Amino acid sequence: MTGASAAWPLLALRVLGGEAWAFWWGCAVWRRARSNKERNLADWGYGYLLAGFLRGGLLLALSALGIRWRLWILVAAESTIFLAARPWRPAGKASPREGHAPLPAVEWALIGVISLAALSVTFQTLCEPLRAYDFLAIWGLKARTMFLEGGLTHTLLTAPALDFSHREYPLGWPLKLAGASLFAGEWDEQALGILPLANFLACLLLVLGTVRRLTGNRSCALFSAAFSATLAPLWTSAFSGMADAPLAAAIFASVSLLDEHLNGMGEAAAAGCLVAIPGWTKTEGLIAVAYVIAAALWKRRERLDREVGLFCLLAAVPAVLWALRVQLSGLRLHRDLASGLPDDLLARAGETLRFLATRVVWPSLPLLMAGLILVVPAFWRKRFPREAVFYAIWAAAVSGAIAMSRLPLTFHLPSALPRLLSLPLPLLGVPMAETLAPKKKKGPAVAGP
Amino acid sequence: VRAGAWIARAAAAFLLVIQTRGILPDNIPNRWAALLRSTTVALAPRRAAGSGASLDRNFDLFMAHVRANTPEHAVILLVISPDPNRRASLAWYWHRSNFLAAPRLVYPEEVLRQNPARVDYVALYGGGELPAGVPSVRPIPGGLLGRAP
Repeated sequence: MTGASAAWPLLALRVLGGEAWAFWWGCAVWRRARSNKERNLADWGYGYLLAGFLRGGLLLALSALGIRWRLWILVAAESTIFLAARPWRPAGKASPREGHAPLPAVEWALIGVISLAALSVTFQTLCEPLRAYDFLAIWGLKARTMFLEGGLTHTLLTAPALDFSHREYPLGWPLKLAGASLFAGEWDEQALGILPLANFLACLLLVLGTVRRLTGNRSCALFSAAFSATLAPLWTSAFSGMADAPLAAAIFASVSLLDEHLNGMGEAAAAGCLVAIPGWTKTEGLIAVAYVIAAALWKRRERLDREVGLFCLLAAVPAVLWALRVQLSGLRLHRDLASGLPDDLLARAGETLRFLATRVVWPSLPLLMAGLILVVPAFWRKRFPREAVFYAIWAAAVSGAIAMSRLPLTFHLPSALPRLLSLPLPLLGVPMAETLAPKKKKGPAVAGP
Repeated sequence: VRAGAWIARAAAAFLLVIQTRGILPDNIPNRWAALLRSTTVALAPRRAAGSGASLDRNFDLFMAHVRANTPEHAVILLVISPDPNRRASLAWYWHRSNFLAAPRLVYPEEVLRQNPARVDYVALYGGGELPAGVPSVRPIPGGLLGRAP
C-alpha cells in the first residue's frame, strides 16, 4: 500500500491527463510514420496503442539503465519522441471531408446504442476498484510492485510473494498500469479503471475507422462499432482489470493492419510495433502476432524486401526477448502450458468440445445464426475474409491449448474459454459490415469520417 | 439480392437488440451509492472500510483468525471465495501453516482427493461453501474454517 492520500477522482484525472498526453504524442508519431495521409478515425486508435507500447519500452529502458522511474524523466523521454516526429510540419495533404449530410434515423439509433454501451461500461468501471483475482494476484500485483520499486527490479522475478503472478506472462499491461500510476503519483485500483476504458474507446475508434475505410459507408461503420460496444462478455470481464480490454484492442489493430500497405521504413517500423502489442500484452496474443507475420509474408511473397523484414522483426522482437529473458533467468515457473501433454488428452479434448457445443454454441444459437447470415456472404462478395479465418484459428488454438494443458477443465473451461473466445469478436464486425454495405461504385476512395 | 439484403438487415437488427439487452448493469442503486461514497475517500480508508479493494486488510484479519483457531503446524488449504465478477468461478490458493510460503494455484478437489500434503484444515475466505465432504468447524471473521476429511 502506498499510503494513498488523495480521493480517487483526482487521481483518475491525473491518469486521464497521462493517457491524453500519450494519445496526443502517439497520434503525432503514427501520423508522421504513415505514408497514407487520409484522415481516418482508426489512426487515433493506432496512435494511442502505439504510445502505450512505446511508453512501456521507455520504462523498460530506464530500468535496464538502472534509472529509477520518475514522472519527469518519462515525460522528457516522451517529449523527445514527440518532437522527433516534428508535429509542427504538415502531415501531408489530407483528403477532403465529406459534407455534413443529416444523419438518418438508423444512424442516430446506432449512435444511441454505442453511447449507451459506453456509459454503461464507464459507470461499471468507475463505481468500484478493479478487483478480479487475476488482477489482484497477477496483472495489478506486478504493476504495483514495479510502481513501488520504481522500475523492473529483481523482485518481480524472484520475490516469493509474486510466485503465483506467472512471471513468464508478458509485461505490456502491467507496464501500462505502472506508467499510468506514475502520472497519478499513487497506486489506486479505482483510478486505474481509466485505462481499460481508454482501451475500450480505442477499440471502437479502430472499428469505426477501419470499417469506414473498407466500406466507405458510415452506417455500416456505426453498426460494427455498436456490435463491438455491446459485446458484454468481452467488456464486462475486461473491466475487472485483467489484460482483456487492451488485448481485444490490440488484436483488432494488428489483424486489421494487414490491409495497410507498408510504404516506407517509418511506416513499417510503426506497424511492426503495433503488431507486436498483442503478444506483449497476453500470451494468447502470440496467436495474432504469428498470424499477422505469416499473412504479411504470404501477401508479399513476390517482393520480400527490407520493409517486410523490419515489420516482421519488430512484431516478433518483444515476445522473443521476453521469452529469452525468462528462460535465461533459471526460475522455476508455474506454467499453464508446455509442461507436457496430459495422459487423458483424448478425454480432455472430448470434454472441451462438449463444453463448446453445450455451453457456448447452443445457448447462443440465435446469435450465431444472425452472425453467420452477416459474415458468410462476405466470403465471396468482397475479399478474402481474413477476420473470420483468424477467428477460426484463434478459437481452435485457445480451445486446444486448454485441452492440452494440465489445468483442471471443470474450472478453466467456464472461467476462461468464453472470455478468450470473445476477445477477437470485434473483428467479425468487419465482414458483417461488408455484407450490409451496398456494393461500391468504381471511383475514388471515400474519405473517413 | 434485395431479399438477401433485407434478411441481412433483419439479422443485424436482431443481433444488436439481443446484445444491447446484456450491457446494462445490474444493481444500479448500490453501484451508484458506492460510487458516491468512494469519491470522497482515499484508497487506504476505502480498503479498510470493506470496499471491493479491501482484500489486503480483511484478508490479514481472516488469516489471523485462522492461525488462532488451528494448531501451529497444521497444513491448511486456503480457498478464496467466488470471484464477484464471474460468479461461478473460484480461485484457490495453497498455503503452508505459516501462510508466508509462496501461494500456488491448486484445485481443492484434487488436493483433497489425493491429499499429498496431508491437509488438516480448509479455510474458506469471503463466503460461498466449503468443498463437498468438508465439515465446518466454526465461522471466523471473513469466512469459514472446516476440517479436512
